[in-house]
Amino acid sequence: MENDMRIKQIWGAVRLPVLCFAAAEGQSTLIFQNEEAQKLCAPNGTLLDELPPEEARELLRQAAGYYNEKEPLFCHIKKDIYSAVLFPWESWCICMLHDVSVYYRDVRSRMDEALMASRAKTNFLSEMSHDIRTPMNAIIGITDIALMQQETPPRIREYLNKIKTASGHMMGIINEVLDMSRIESGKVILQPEPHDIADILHEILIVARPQADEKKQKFVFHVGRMECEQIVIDDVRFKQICLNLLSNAIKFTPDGGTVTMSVEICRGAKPDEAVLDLSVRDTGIGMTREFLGRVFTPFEREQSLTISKIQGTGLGMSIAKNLVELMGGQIAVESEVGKGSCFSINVPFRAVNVDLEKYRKALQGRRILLMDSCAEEAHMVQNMAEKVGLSADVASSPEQAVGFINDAAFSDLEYVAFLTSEKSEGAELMTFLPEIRKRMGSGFPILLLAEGDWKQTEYVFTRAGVDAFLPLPLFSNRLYAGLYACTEQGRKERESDVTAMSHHFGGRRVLLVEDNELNREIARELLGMTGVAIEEAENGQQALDRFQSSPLFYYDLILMDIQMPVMNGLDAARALRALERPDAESVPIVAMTANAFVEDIKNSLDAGMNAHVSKPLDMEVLFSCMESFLGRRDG
Amino acid sequence: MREYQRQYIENLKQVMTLADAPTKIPEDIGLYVEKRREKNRQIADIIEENTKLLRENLMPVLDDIVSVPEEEAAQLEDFAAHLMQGSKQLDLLLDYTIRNALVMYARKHEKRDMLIRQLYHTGMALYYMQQIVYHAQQNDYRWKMSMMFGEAAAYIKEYDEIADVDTRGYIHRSMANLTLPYRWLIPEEAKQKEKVMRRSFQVLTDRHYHEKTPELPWDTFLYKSHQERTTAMQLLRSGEADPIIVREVMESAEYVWKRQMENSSRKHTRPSERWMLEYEIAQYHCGVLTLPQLLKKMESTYLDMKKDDFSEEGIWNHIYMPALYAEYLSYDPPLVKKKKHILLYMYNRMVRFVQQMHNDQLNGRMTSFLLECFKSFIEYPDGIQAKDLLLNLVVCRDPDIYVYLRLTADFSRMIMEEAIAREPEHLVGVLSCESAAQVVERAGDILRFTEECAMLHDIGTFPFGSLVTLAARARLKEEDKMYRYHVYAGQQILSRFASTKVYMPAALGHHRWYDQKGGYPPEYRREEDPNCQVTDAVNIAAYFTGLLDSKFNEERLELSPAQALERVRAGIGTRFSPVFAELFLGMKQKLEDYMENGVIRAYENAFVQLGR
Repeated sequence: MENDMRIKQIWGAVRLPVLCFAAAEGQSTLIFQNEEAQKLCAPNGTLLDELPPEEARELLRQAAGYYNEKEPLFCHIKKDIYSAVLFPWESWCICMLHDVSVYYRDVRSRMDEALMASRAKTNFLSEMSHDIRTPMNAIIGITDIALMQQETPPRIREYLNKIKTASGHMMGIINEVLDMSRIESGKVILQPEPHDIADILHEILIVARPQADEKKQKFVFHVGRMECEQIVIDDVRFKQICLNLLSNAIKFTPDGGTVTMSVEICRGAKPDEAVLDLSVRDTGIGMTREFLGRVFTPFEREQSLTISKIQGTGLGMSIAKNLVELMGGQIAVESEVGKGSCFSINVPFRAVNVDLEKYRKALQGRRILLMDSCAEEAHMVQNMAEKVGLSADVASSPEQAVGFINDAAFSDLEYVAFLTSEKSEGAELMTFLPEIRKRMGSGFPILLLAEGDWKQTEYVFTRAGVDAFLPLPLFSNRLYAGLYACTEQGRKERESDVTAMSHHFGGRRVLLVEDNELNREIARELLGMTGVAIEEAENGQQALDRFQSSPLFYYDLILMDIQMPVMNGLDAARALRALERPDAESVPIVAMTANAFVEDIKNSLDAGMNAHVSKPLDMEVLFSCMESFLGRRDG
Repeated sequence: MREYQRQYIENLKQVMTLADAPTKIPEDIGLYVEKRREKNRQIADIIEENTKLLRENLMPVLDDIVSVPEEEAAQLEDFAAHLMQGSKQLDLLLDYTIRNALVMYARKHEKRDMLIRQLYHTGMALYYMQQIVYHAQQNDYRWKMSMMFGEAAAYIKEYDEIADVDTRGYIHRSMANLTLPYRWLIPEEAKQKEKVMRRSFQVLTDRHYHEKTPELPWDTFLYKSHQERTTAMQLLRSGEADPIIVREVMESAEYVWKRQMENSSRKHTRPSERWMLEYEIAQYHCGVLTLPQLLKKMESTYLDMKKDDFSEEGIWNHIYMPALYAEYLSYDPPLVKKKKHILLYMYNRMVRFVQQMHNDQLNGRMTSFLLECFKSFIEYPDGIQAKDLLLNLVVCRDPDIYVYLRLTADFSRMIMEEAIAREPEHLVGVLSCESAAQVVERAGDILRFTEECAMLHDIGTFPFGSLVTLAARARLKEEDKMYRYHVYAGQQILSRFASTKVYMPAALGHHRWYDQKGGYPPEYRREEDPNCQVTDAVNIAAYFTGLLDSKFNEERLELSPAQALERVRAGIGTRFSPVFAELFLGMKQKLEDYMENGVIRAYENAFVQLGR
């Protein structure tokens, strides 16, 4: 009673609505409301009755001791909005209500405007992406076709490869801009798939190295332990993270500085678990202690004279952090002004166990000759080789290599191949390799371990007798595949692959639905190589008409663009599936769209399509998709 | 041989005769200089003719070697053999070029016997080339030599299909020569050398091969192989040899010794002192002889030989023996002091011996012996200094070279005198001078040092001598590459002794341009040379001197001082230091005055030095 009196004395006279709660065992009960609060209620009712049920529940929950929540609590009472401020007082919880109706409505209206603007922006970007992607489709597709021409001269091939890489990167940038808003709204969905880490890193280096070269920076790539090389990861997002870190390091490091990327993969506790550690260290301008705390905040850029001259949106690190966290990993940064920065990420992922049996069968008990003046590197290659039962004689100089060749000539030893690093001590490779070629004959495989973009030196080295290139840093899968190709089995396999490719889908019929003439031409060229028969339609309606007028089971596959005039791909798919003929349900329809977002894929599946291939068309993806529906029909 | 080939060989021989140094001190030095100039003009004409002969006749053939008729290929082979004349090496690089082409020809036309033969000869040419660049610590030709011998030797697998006895011989020779690329003192190479040597011995002692080809000189093959195996003595000296090697070397030394004894008793001649001594050395390493006993044997062998024995044996005794003696002395430091008088006697006698040698004895082997001597040279404070030994042995070896260096030294000195007088502040830093006043104060030291740098700057050409002095045609690309290594050779030689290290930068950098954008070698960095101004001065003086004498410039020009100065002018600020070049150009009259009698004076000086 005494307590009730005290509450009434103190809080009863307050000119704001006040509620008093008693809490016990995580539950709260309203024990008092003052006169100002009573004014807002029906006679004999409590203020809790006036609130929408979910707000009343939340108020009681917070009053039970959870009033330190970060989210503000708003109470809708009749037409007004009150902000509830909760705080403990003696053994009770006091709740004071402030009328914030005007402020709230104002903010709400601004937020609505912002949301609408944001939606408009997203729509605009989405529309624009289609418009940018269409010509990019042409660039990438035609480059692919040109690369497949046998007669393409090496130098032109080199340029084409660069166009392919650069345009691929540009597509990535377009996606990145789009991604930011999606990341912020939590709509990014990762698509982890098995990948070879060597491929991923190689693609990263192809983009990053020339950037560093341009600024005459020393680019160091260090590979540590690689306990597994096949990993399940969203490669696009992973590359995005790495390239963001690298381009930042290159950007903020003066000419002549050093950028070092280190990577290692260690097995986790379980057999299919692994962790990738990657760091990007630079000798750049570094960051202030104050800015370090904001480096991952969107649009944040350090305000200094030096940095203001460097272009950037301030999105890169924010995207990287969000993506790393989405992958379940962590990102950290260390930096000192004038000395440089180091960003490190740690990402867990699922490891894929690779079946080495094929390589082991072909290579076990055989021998390679390796020439490398770097003992550490040679040792690494030797260890890799041993894993598939292959022995390696290691020569640190041309003299030693010749010594091994001479020794082999007096025994029955036969080398599978000669592997040499690009740097040789004691002789010019350009002089040495032709002599090896002469001595060992034209059929003897000579493989060059090449650092950087070997395509730049491909011509001269090929002339000097090199058959193939293995990019450095070397990964075991690449080594095995390279050496396997030198064996009898490997050669046969390669020959049969070439034959198989041309007859792969012979006798099958595909309906290609695409409104853009250029895209049709590219798809025609790519598909033509598979031996498949192609028929074309320029929009969904035409496709529907063609299908309807065709004999039953005439088409084996339909490749359908999404955005088309007259009738779009989604509507066409829905209409086709609705047709009353037995093959309408079974004919595989594969969506071809540049909108490669998960929700777009979902839309196409919802419309009755079976799969989705992203535009610009990637030959391997397209073939593998076709194979899954058409099956393999060799010869 | 074709007519142009015969003519070329004739011309080669003529150049050798014309270039030979006088055996006696000329009575009239002025007349000698005039005659020499005339001879040089003749050499220049021959060089032009020879170059033309090759350009018009040989090069087109080599360009399309795979299409030449068999007869042409045979002629080429004959020509190549004449170019080498055994191991006289009249034209080593041309021989190599032709052999290399013939390997391609034989490979293309699948002429197995010819291929084996050419692989062997190419390997040998590469061996000689490697011997030259080895002194510059370069190994350009080792791997290819190994490749050539290795490929030829690998035909042992087809031995029975090869009917030609000589070809079989080349296979065995190649197999034995597979040891040549490897060095005993590099542990990994030593292992490989042992391995290939054992393989070769295995084949040479296999009766199966003897029966198949009884016509081959098996005894000689074995004897040579044993001789080669005694070279592992280096390994014994370094203390790195394992017991198996020690035993094998002992066996070989004994084998050679026995053969020597048999031969001498059959021919009633003295056995080779060299091989007898190798036997004694092997005994020492096997514990049969003590070090003092070995040294005693060496001393008595040395004292027994004739002072004017210029045979191969004599050269070994006079030049290599002091090297060996010094090396064994250094095993026991008290002996270095105790035997000082003997070693100094050997050194002095060696200097006189070298001064009296004829040009045709100045071959690769002698060069190697001398360089070995530098390696183990012991410098006593009151004895002959390494610097003086080098000047005496190398610089004074050829009067032409001496004169070239003397002139270079005098011109360098003139530049420095002028600089000290007019631009002393430019010389701050030389010999650690901290101010212009100190430069003036230490003018004598600076001038002396400059002269010595100039006298020693080209010391590295010593192992390359035959490439320069006996050239009888325009220089080939490969030759040019080899010749450029002389700066490293100079660096190597001078780096061995405390007293000569200071001249090293001049030897390394005298062909490098002042602006460091041209010339060679890139390893010379002016900013790292503490006396770079001296190197700058030597650079100008050497270039200028070289242009005055057709023997010392690649274009075979004989320019007047005024013409040569114009060339210097063209290099101001790029090739040459602008300060020194300007000073030098301002000395035109002085230089012309010097040239009036300077060359004759230098020759007089040279002959006095040579004691002829």
